Amino acid sequence: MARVGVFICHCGENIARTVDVAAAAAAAAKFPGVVYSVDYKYMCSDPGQQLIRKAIADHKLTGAVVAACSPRMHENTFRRAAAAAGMNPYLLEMANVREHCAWVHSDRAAATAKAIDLIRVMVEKVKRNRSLKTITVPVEPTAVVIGGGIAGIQAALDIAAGGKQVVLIEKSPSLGGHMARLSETFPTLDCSQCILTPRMVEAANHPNITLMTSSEVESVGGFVGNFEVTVRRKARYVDPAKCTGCGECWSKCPSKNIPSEFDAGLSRRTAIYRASPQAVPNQPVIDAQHCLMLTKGRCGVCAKVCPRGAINFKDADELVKVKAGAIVLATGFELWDHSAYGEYGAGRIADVIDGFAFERLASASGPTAGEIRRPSDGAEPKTVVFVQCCGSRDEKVGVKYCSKICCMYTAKHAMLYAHKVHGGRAVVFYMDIRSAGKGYDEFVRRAIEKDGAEYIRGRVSKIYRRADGKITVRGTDTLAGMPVTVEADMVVLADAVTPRADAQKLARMLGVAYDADGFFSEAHPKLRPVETAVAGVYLAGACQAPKDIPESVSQASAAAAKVLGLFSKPKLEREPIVSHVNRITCAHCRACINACPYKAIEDFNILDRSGKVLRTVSNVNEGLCQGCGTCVSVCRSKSIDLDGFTDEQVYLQIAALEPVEAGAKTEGSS
Amino acid sequence: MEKTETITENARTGFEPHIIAFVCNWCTYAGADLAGTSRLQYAPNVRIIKLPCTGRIDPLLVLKAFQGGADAVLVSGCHPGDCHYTSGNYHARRRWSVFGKLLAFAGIDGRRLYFSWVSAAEGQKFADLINSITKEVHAAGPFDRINPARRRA
Amino acid sequence: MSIVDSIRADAADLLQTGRAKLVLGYRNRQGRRAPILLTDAAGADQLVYDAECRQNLAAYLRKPEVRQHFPVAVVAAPPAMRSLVMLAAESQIAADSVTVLAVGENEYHGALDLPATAQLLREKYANLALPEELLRRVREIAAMSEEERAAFWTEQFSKCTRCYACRSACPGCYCQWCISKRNVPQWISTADLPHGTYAWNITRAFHHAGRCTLCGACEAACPQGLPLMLLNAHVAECVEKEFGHKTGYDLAEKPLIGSWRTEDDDGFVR
Repeated sequence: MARVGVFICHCGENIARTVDVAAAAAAAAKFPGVVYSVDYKYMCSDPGQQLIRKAIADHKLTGAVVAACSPRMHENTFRRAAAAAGMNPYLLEMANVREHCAWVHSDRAAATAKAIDLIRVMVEKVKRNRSLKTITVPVEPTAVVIGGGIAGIQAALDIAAGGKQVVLIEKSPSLGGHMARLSETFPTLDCSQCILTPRMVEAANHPNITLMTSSEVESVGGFVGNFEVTVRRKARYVDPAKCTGCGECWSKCPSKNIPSEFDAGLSRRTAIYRASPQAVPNQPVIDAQHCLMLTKGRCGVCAKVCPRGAINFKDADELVKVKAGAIVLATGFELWDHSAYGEYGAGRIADVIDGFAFERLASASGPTAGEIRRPSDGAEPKTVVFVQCCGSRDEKVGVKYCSKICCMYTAKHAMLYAHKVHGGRAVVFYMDIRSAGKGYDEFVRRAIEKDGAEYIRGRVSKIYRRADGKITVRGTDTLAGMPVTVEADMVVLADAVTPRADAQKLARMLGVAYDADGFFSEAHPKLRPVETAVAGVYLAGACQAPKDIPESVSQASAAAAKVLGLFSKPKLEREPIVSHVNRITCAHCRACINACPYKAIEDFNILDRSGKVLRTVSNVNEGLCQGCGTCVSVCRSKSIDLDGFTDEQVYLQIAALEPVEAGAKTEGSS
Repeated sequence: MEKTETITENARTGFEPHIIAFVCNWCTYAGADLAGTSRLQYAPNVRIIKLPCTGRIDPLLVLKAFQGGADAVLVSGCHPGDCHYTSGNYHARRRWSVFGKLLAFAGIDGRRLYFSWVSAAEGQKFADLINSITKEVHAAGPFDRINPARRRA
Repeated sequence: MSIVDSIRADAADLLQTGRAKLVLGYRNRQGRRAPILLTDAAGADQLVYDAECRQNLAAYLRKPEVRQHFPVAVVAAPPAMRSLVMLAAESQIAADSVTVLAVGENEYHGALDLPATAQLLREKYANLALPEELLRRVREIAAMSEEERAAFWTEQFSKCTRCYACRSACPGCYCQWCISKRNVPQWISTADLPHGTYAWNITRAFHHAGRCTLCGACEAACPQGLPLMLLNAHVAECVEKEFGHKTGYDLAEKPLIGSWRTEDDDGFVR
């Protein structure tokens, strides 16, 4: 005999304003199998949970339905309360009468009727819930961090400091990401490489960290605690065990004219190259597309001059399988392509550059040794215009959101320019100034008041180059109420921050959601910013949303804390929502085996006492089953069923919604 | 209010469609939650039944819903490529393609069965979808083709 | 040798040499055709074969009484040959447990094992045409208005007495506990009301999507004359057009329902 308790929450006014909770409780009290029905102001509060625990004990409840917010909100809260009262937590379900009812309807009568229906559906389900035990699976205490920028490095260091193994995978030949390309960082004007390179070296040398550069994730299988990540270690053509980074090879390489990605195309590199002098690992790789030996079969000078014989033209990509218990995504960002703005020159004016190019100009280790010189003719620009919000906050051509970091780095650029070009004129066109961090607003004020940057509130409508080489920038000064024209020598566009173009592919490999802009989706925007909906996969850095360095570092440490929490137990408890095969009725058509996305179902022989095979049927491996229920749908005879969403439960939930004639018996039973 | 009173009220106010939505937990259910958090308003005729994945939703559920007096059924899940269980929605899509056409051939009005992809971020889409479906089903009238004994006008 | 003589000779040979312990074929019974299960080579001359032989003998391979006599030989025309390949693909029969006495349109292809049967089907019977009349009627129904179609099928399904002869005759219906039998929960209502008959007939057609070889045994068996082949032909056409799937040509084929491609059509999804 079922003894179900129904607990209806007012959620303050959120539910009670639209749903007549007292009437709902009275209706629920009459449902077959319900022995206790009550409504209360805040079920999730301490007294609310106490109420539930007491009711379970007093009324010897065999099941409970909490009609309140979405189960995605508080199912765990209430299940823990049930467990504390000695009831198996899987005997408690929630009816969503807030997000799916009170918040979306205004007609009180209709909303109350719907709430009662929703509660009835869950009561019918709960009467067939079984006491399930969580499934334990072993946890592989190794984390895979995808992305070797500041966020990835921080996460790797924190996890390693916690005593666990990390495999840090980086697509390019060196760690460092975008931060390695910066000149100074706001608001302290610290030299970026000076604060970053010690971390890069520490990550490379840490005994708990295995570094895989020039590597990309090829595929991911498995699930939390038991991921199998296949990594493609790309051919580098230089043996890392032998190379000392002496530099003989790149100094002699004849293929010299390749635009350097690190220097935003402002300098040229060779085919065998090191991204920068501070690269970690500090060893070159060969760019196969531009190497004469690899494309045409001649040259080979580097191999001839290498004192250690470290060059290996026969190198090939290698697939490496890594077992991991958790994955941290730290793939970072890239800049929006401003060639979409025809009015700004469509990317064709050489002296209209983006923020990274300016960073390389300003950087002491950059192509111009830290002198601000414009790309077209190397002249020192006397007037530089900085245009904020290039692509950001632009629904029509660019992206809708604000890229967060540009106001700060534009102020930084204006300051660096003022420090390096005495008497130079820095003009900044802005819409708003977003400088909300610690010391940030003071930093912007300093750029304006101390370093003389001219801030003009208004947008730039057109940028073009005149015949005499000057760049005309036409904009508006909205505070003065008049148009403005600036004759500039160089223009720096603060391009929007976007996720990497290949981020979606990675997200799909992992089953991680991403939003309309391509940023990875966190599990909850307020309360779970570093987790994803996929258990065991965490987020750090700008791949989740535009953010600056301190935020990336914080988020990386937070993700590391989550990983270490996951690894703190030798076994992981998994939700017991798994399938089971009815061996008596299974006809072994193998449809389920074929359909299972996790290959969790296998053939199983039923033997007689002498070991002879009587029949073969299907069997579910509980450790692998993730509870999607695809097998249940494809089984024509319904010989497989999913705990937590059994055939009978779903049937009775649907039946609970049938309108019946007055006086007729409902299909539900006690 | 009991079920019987609901029927009487319907008779009083005219036909109110009875719609059952089978949705997946990770995308459409969350999308419906988002519609709620954003306080988007939509018609109150739909009753959502949560399943882990659209892969779990098979035609028998739809047939049972019709048998039980539903005027229309909505089946909704994650966009292709975004399934939390990697491929449940791909299985579902193929199944629905065959089943939908079979039902149409067998004389079931096309306004009775709807399929959609609604992601966790598409609260507005969910609300709009429910509103437009409710309107279409209202125009189509009560679905008593395969359950005349259980329906009333 | 005529087709019938060849069948008789091969059947006798298989039984004598022990390559088959049982031969499933057709015999003459009071002017009609009935199945015969032979265990003795001497009975081979009872075997007949002509256009009247419409029962799909592959259906017998579901029965434990037949299975205990494996290996068996089965007289089969292309649709039944496809059924045998389908059963092997769905792990219901071992590929080496059946010899097919393969009868084609107007020729006899010999006693073949299943792999050879699958190959024969691919080479010679890849495009089996449905009867003109059947196709015409499918088009006719598809062209009807929704109201007309609904009225047509309500009338047709009302004739169904749930005798399940269709199930007994079909080799694809091998589930020991058919969904129509399951009563906890009872997805397919047994009520003799529209919701019950619709649910059964639609589920039957759907469960055979990508598995039906259009042998016609179900419609031939139906005592009420339900036009089951209309449903089967419609589904088979859909499945071939949408997914390029035709069952029974490949022992290693993956089932239609339970497989997917990223390019599967979802134009019908909002």
